[in-house]
Amino acid sequence: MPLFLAFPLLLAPVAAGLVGPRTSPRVVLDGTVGGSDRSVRLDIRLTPPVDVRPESLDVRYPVPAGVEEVHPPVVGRDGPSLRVQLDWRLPEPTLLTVPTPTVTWKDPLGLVERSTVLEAPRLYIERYPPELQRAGAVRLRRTLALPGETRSRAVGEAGEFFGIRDAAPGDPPRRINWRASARAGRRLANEYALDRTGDLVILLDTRPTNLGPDVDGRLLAVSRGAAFGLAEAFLRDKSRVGVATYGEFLHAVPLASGRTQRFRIRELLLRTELSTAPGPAERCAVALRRYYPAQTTTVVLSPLASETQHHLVAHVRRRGFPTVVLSPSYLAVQSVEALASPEDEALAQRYTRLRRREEVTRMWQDAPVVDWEEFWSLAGFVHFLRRPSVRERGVA
Amino acid sequence: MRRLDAAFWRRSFGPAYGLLLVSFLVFGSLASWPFVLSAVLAVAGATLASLVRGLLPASSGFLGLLPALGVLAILAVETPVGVVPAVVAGATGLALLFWCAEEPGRAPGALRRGLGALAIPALGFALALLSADLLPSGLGTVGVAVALLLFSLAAVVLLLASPRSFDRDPSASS
Repeated sequence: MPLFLAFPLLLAPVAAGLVGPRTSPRVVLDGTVGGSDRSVRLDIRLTPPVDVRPESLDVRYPVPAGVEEVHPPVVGRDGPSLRVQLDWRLPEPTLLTVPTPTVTWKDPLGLVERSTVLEAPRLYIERYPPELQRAGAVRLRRTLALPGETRSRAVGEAGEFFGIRDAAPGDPPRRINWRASARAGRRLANEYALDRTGDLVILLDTRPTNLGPDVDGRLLAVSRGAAFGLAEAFLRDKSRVGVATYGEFLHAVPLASGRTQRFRIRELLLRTELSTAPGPAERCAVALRRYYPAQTTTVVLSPLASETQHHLVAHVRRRGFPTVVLSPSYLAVQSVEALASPEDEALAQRYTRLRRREEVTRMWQDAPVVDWEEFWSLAGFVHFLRRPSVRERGVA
Repeated sequence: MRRLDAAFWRRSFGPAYGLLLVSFLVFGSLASWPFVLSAVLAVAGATLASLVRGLLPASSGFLGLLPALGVLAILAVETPVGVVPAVVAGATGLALLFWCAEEPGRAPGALRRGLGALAIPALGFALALLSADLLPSGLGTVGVAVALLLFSLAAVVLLLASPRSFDRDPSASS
């Protein structure tokens, strides 16, 4: 038997330990989050030190909950870096942090593996219905003791005429300066010197319901996305925005404006999870007054799936907060049990729909409610906010 | 168990499969029994190994090595000792290593990573072979011993040249 047959096989394990880096290599990650609406495209670059080949890195990207992978990651070499392209799809609006990948160095035979020290910035996925971009133009109640309009240095959608600029794809027709466009031969839009419009509080009800943790979790993710979109739209137009979440206790970001406030709100929303123990509605209303002045316009995001969630709206309103309820409907995420016949299923669905309508109708006694079933559109809600006469029904 | 789609064939059979098959056939031709039997064994061993590796999940892919190692052992038992069988046996061992290191479905660097794993074993094999044939005694065992000695010296020099290998943990006072 030729002895030399075993020689390469015996030598390979020893060689595997020698060819790689001696210590955990430092890998620098940078990337961008692209795509629009439902699609999310992540373009990630991993740059290892010069003595480590990029193709020897093994990258595992966990897909976060509530996100669908369109196709497996596309990995390619790009100079000294490894480029990973991920294509995800969001079934519902949401706000989440892109998880950090697991990056390891492996020798080609798979005998030696070394973890890496990853330097990665946080990347965020912020997706909400596009109509919310226009929600900031709504006139809100003022709670500061300053008479008259407070002129801001920013330009935006409403106020006194400031100037003309090239129209952007999202500009509504009313903002287009048609005469100037006809003269210039291209679309031009008006810009206005903004006035501070007012204050807004967004309250998320994170208490559990009898719908189960899966449905509750999905509805909370949708609410999180909508709350962030709403806050961003009003902050862009120089309003003061505060966000509070209520599970067992109230967690609040007080009223403020500016980019730092956007960051604070995003951090609070990302930390928010479904509460395990539901707190009483009265506690939320009392705590809310400690953070926000009365008469602040309040948007309550609640699925209205239980009696305690109904009570919350009533208590908040009685404490002096003009309230509007945006209610993500559980009908959109709840799976219907398969019944014996299609007729029975249709009947069950009709019954559930009627019950939901009755719950929402009952809620109108306390505050106006927008039933949100099509999660990628909030046109009805924005349209509702723009009608102050209807909105005022939420005042105590 | 994975599906038998286009991706399965892509991740099962790469250039290393061809090399492994050819080296098995050449090694089998040196065996003391009829070539047909060796050819059947070689084709079955290489193909079965690649199929098992492609079918099983990545964590159990190493099981694909078993058919290849089994065929290699059978062929080695039936091959007589000599200079040519020694060269062919070493080359077959290297081909098997190449097949292990290659991940046909992986992008990028499926082939290049595999070749990178062969450098040191190939060097060691060449040293051992040259020592065995050029030394006056002509004994293969002496060649292997010389190669192992040289390889150990190289490893010690390499490790001493990189002190980072020895102070991986930070000191308590730093």
